[in-house]
Amino acid sequence: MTSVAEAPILPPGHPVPYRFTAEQSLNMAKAAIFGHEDKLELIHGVLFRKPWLTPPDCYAITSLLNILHDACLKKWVVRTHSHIVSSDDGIPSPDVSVAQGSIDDYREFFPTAAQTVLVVELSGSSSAFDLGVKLALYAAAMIPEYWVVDLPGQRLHVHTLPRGGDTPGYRSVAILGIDDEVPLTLRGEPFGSIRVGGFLPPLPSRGVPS
Amino acid sequence: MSSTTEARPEVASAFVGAELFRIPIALYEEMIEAESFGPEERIELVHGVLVRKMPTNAPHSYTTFELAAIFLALVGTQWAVRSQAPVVIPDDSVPEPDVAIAVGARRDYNFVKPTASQMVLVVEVSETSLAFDLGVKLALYAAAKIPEYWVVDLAARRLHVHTLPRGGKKPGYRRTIVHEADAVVPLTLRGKAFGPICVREFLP
Repeated sequence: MTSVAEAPILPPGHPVPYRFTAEQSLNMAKAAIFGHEDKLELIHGVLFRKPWLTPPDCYAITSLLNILHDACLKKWVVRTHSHIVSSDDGIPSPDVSVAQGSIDDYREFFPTAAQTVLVVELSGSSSAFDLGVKLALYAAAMIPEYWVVDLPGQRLHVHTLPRGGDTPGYRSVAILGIDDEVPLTLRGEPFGSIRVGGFLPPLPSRGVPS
Repeated sequence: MSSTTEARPEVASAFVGAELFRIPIALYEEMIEAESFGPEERIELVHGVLVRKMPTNAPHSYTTFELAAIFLALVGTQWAVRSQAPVVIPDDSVPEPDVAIAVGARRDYNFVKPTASQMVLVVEVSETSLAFDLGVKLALYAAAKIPEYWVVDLAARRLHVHTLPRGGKKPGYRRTIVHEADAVVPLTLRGKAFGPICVREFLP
């Protein structure tokens, strides 16, 4: 079995997709070629769309942003839906991310993987992708901490200790429920802990349209 | 997987849940204008997905050029014989078939790409891409109502001739004839006969 890091993007019977480099993509973005099209990510050289967000998605993202802002004070940059240049063929745009330094450091350039200390993806229908291809991508880029918020399952997957190489992954995985607390540690520096239920929206009650 | 899998490239299993960004033709044109691709790169846009054309090896090039030369000798300047040139298939595809014949003179296309409705014959020369050429590509050309689609299977030394395109939900060709190397096939463009071609003539 091939590792997810090199998994084919198109199904069997298809030719290989054309792969853009990060540089090509940034140049196209600079030339305003992408315009207002879509929220795009470059994953292994191929452009993907970020899904349309639901109200619970936005609730979780905004709550987490507020919590992280309060916790990190001014030492770190908390970003949302902002690109990271993670490799020479990857420019993901995670739902939430934390980069080192100050906001002014990223006026002209996207943070690199080395400048990124935490990445968070919200996962609904994309959970296999977020826990597979995306996880391998962030691990290969040695991003120290990767959270996947499983909204339907009301859980938080906390991945730490990235391992690169041929089969990239995280050595430590903790799956936390809404009553659990997740310690917020950025580059070894503790910033207290966050209650998972603090940013997970309650499941809609039956009969109420979501 | 739904029955549309063959007609439209979806993602492989590891990418299920991720949504491919399907590049609109206008955006693809802009990318080409902005020289986003390297000069040596052969690319096609198939249902909004950029795929690489296989680098051509000697047998593939031989068959491609022989077919183009045979067509040119048969149809002269009445029709536009083109090779590895783009065809615009609204709304999301710009394939570059190995050989193609369009209506009108070659000069009619010196500044514009022909669209599917101007194509009378499209040929793909298959070495390793047979599944794609007889699957996604066939459905693409049939849905665009391109009247005749040939696939040269180099490995098996056969020619697949597809005629009578059928659009709809399951696009395909109503008639498929598979010719062996010694067969003689008629070249008929929009009902006009241009004399037979022996399959062996263009096989390496």
